[in-house]
Amino acid sequence: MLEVTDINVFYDDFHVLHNASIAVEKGELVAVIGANGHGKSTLLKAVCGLIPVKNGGIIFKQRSIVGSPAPSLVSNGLVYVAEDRRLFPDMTVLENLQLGAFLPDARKHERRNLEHVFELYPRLAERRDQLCRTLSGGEAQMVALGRGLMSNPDMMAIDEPSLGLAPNLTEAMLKTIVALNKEGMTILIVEQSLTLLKGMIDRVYSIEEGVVKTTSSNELQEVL
Amino acid sequence: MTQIFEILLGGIAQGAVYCLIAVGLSLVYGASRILNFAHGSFYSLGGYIAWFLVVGYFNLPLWLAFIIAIPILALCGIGIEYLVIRPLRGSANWKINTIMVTLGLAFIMDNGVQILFGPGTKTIPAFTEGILTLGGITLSYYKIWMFVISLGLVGSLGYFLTYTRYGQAVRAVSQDIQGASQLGINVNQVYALTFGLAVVMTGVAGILLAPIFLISPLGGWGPFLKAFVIVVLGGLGSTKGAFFAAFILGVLEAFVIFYLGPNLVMPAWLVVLVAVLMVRPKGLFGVWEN
Repeated sequence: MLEVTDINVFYDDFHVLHNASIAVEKGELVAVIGANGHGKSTLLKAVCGLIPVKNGGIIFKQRSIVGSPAPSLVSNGLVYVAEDRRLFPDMTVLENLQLGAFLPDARKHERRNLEHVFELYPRLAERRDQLCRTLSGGEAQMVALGRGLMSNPDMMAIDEPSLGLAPNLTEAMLKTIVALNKEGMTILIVEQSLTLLKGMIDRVYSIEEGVVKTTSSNELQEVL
Repeated sequence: MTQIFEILLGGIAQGAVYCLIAVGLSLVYGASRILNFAHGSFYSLGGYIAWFLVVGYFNLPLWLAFIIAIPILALCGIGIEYLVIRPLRGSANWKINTIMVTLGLAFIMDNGVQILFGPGTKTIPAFTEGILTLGGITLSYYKIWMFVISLGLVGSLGYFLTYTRYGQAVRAVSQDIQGASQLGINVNQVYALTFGLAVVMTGVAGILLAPIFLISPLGGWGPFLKAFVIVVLGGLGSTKGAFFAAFILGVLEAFVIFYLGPNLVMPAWLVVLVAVLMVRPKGLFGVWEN
C-alpha cells in the first residue's frame, strides 16, 4: 500500500533522513522504533506531506505522492495522527471528531465512523460536549485517533500514541490500535518501545541517526 | 429617565455598527494572525462604492448599491489576501511584514480615492427618514435599521462559525493550523474567505455610517482605531469578545458624548481598556496572553 524508497529529508542544512526506505502492505501493522531525535517522527511527517522531501520516492496506492500537500493525501486515504495530538482546544470532542470528516468523501461515512469511534472509545461518547482543553492526556489521545478514523482512511500513520501517557493508559491505547488493525486498517506506527505490541506487529524498522534498518525476525525478538 | 433610555438605545445601535467593523478585524486576526491596517480603508471604500453608485454617477437606490457593493468588496478582500498577503506568509518576520504591507496598502487606497473623488467629504442620503416615538422615547428609523442590518450580518457570521462545517473549519484553523491542515482543511482557502468576509462587513459598516459620519479619504482611520480598541478589549482573535466589547464601548460612547462631549470619547474608551487589561490581560474573552 505504501512504498517509500531512498528518501532524504533536511531541516535547513541538517541532513535528518538518509536514504530511508520502508514498505507497508495492505492490512499490516508496521512499526518504526528508535530513540528520541533519530528521525522517527520526521519519517512519518515526510510520508504524510507535512515536511518536504529532498529526493526519493513515495508511492501510496500505486501513485506517487511526493510533494502532495497534506489535504490531498487525506482525501487519498492517508491520515496522520500527530504525537502532540493537535486537537482544537476550544472546540468540543464532538466538533473535533466531526472535523475529521471535513472532506466530502469522509462526510458520506460520517455517521457510521462516529458510531465506530464511540464504540472503540465509549469514554468519548460520555464527553462529547466537553471542550478538548479540559481532557486528560489519555482522552485527548483517544480524540486524536478517533478524529483520524473519522477521515475514513485506508491507512493511518500514528506518531507515538503513548507519549505522555501512564503505562496502563498506553496499554489500553495500543490495544485499540491492534483492534483497529484486526478490523483491517493498515497502520504505520512510531514508538519508542514495542514491548506492549509483542506478537502483534508484522514488521519493524529501526531508525538510528536517520538511517533505517530492516529488523530481521531474530533481531526483532531481541528488540522486544 | 427617558433621556437615559434614548442614549442607551442610541449607543446600542452605534455599538452594533462598531461590532460589524471590529468582528471582521478580529476574525482575520484569529484565523490568520494578520493585523490588517487597511481595515479602515476598506471601511471608506465601502462608503465610496455606495456614494459612486447612489449619488456620484448612477443614482441607484441604496439597497441596490448594497447588493452591488457586497460582491465587489468580497472580491477586493479575497484578491488582496491572494496577491498581497499570501506571498509573504511563512517568510521570516512575516507578521511584521504583513502589518507594514497592509499599512502601505491603506496609504495607496486612501490616496487612490482622493485622486479619484477629491479630498472633500461626501455623503449618502439616509434610505429612511422619520422618528419612532415609543413611551416618550424617540429613536430615528435609520438607527433602528442600522441596528437590524448590523446585527443581522454579525448574527449570520456567528451562525456560520458555530453551526456550519465550514465555519467549524475556520475556528479549527484559528486554534491549530497544522491540526486543521492534517484533516484536509485547505488553510489558504480559509484565510481568503475570512479576509473577504471581513472586508465585506467593514465596507457595509462604511455604507451604513456614511449618512451620519460622512465619507472622506482618511475617514476610515477613526473607525479602525475604534475597532482596534474593541478587539483588544474583547480579547485578540475572539469574535465573541469583539461582539460584547463593541456594545459596551458603543453605549459608553453615547453617554460620554451626552454628558462630557465628543472629544472625550477616545480618552474614555482608553481608560476602560486600560482598566480591563489590568485585571484581565487577555481581554474579556481572550485566549492569548500577548
